[in-house]
Amino acid sequence: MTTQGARSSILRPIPFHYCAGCSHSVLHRLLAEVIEELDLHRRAVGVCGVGCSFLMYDFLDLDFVSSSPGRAPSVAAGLKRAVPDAAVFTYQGETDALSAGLTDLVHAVSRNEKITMLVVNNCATGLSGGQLSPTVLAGQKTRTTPAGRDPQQHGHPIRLSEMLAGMDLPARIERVALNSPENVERARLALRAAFRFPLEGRGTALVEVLGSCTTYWGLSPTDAETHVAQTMVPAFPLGRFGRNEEG
Amino acid sequence: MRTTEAIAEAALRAGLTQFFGTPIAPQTELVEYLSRRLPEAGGAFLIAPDEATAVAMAFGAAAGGGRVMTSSSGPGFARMQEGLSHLAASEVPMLVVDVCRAGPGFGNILPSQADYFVATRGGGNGDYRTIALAPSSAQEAVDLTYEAFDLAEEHRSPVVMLVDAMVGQMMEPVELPARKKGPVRKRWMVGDRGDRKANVITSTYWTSGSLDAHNYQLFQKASGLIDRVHRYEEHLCRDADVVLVAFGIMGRVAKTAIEKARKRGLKMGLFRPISLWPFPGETLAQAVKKARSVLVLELSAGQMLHDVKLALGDKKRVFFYGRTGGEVPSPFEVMHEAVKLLS
Repeated sequence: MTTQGARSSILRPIPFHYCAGCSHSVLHRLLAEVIEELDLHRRAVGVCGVGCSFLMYDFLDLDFVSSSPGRAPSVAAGLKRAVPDAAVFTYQGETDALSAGLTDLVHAVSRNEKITMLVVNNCATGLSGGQLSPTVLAGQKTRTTPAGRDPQQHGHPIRLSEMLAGMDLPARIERVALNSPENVERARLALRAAFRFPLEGRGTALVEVLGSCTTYWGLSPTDAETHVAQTMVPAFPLGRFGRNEEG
Repeated sequence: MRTTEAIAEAALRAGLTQFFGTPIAPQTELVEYLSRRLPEAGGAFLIAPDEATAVAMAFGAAAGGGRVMTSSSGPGFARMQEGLSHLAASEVPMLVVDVCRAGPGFGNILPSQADYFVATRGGGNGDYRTIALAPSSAQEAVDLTYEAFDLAEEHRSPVVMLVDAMVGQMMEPVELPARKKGPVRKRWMVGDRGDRKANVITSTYWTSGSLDAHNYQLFQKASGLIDRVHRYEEHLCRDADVVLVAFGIMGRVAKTAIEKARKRGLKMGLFRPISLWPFPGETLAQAVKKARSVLVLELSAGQMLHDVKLALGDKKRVFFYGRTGGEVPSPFEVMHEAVKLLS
């Protein structure tokens, strides 16, 4: 008999500090469950970036290194060389990964580093208080685009998965969302594959996770889920990207 | 061997396991050398897209238990300061080599010592210092490189080796040491977890008071380094009327100047700090006790000068002579400056 819905032993018995409806809570739980399922509890080493999840090592019973803004993929690349047997993963928000860290991220994927990379895209620079992020959609109001993002002035949102797909690399790239039970289950499968892929020696697996930021979107948790479905998914379509669309 | 290559070979013999860096003059030969030799020796060599990235890669590798080095020059060393602040705060050991070219800005690739402040003050954000060593010959660079990893690992601190571009680019015969054993896993490292509790390597101390406590622990560690690390060379100071204080290539220029001066009956001596931080200030104060004046020589507008003045207070007359922008004074120029202090 298997028990469904039991709390992963990797999740420490302390409450998350995240806002109600924040995707980090869901993703931390998924991450813990997938790592446990794959029996990587003692092999996984996380590299967390700078964002609302910068203290994630408080919640997960795993080895962690915390990186300076943007550098998580580079830290992970170095770490993997020192501990080749480790299941090294990065966990970043889109501001961390795509503003300070775009160089680190693109080069790590181009080298096909044997690491798992998670980028949570919630169209908000949350930790600083809801300012413009590289994926904020045109017209979206933030604390630093009070009249809405004007692409002429503030640039266009960066579509990470499409950009990497355009590089025609062997990496496994997938975009998922967490706004419904079905999508959470798809995300679970994506995470599972994303941990296996590098450990099988095949290369980088990157999962772009569409998340919600209830506080800085000014929406309730349920309205935020609708917002993901109606506004974010059309701009950031879900699915597999790039050369390695199968497997 | 060229000093940059000798450093690379010494690092290999000291058990280097990973190198991350970028080509930038005048240290490119070091990177090229390791691109061949490190993979041959079973280590990992990786060219980074930039220096902030290189030091981040090095951070990861050292956190995972590697014996790690990165190297750069001037503008690249400046970009590494973000990482150095994190390394110092997270107490992750490694060797960082800066073959110092002339700045500020892109400057030029000629010799300079103007990264002294960056190397000794903690060039990144927050309160921290890193051990900083400065060789004045290829042999000394070999010896210091070989030892730097031990210092770094023993004290869980990054070690900066500041090599002015003239020392870095000169070719001299060197005696290379035997190959040392590789790094040993320590309990604070990540990966290879086994049954131990999870480790976190971080520079984040979020709760009230915790950062203050951590910083004081770092300061205490730093003050403990002074006896262990402080290195210097003292040459003919005992009867000198003028003591020249210089490091790196200027120490050698000063030595020749002193030789010329002594032939003319002018009593000069040299005090050459080898550890720039911790600075051998007390030893310097002893060495110049009988001298009438002290002349600080640097390839900068006067940076070590501040440490000399701090060490000597108002007990001595301290003068300065320096050149910038890649100019290196000749021994005659130096002697001439020192002679002025005798009249």
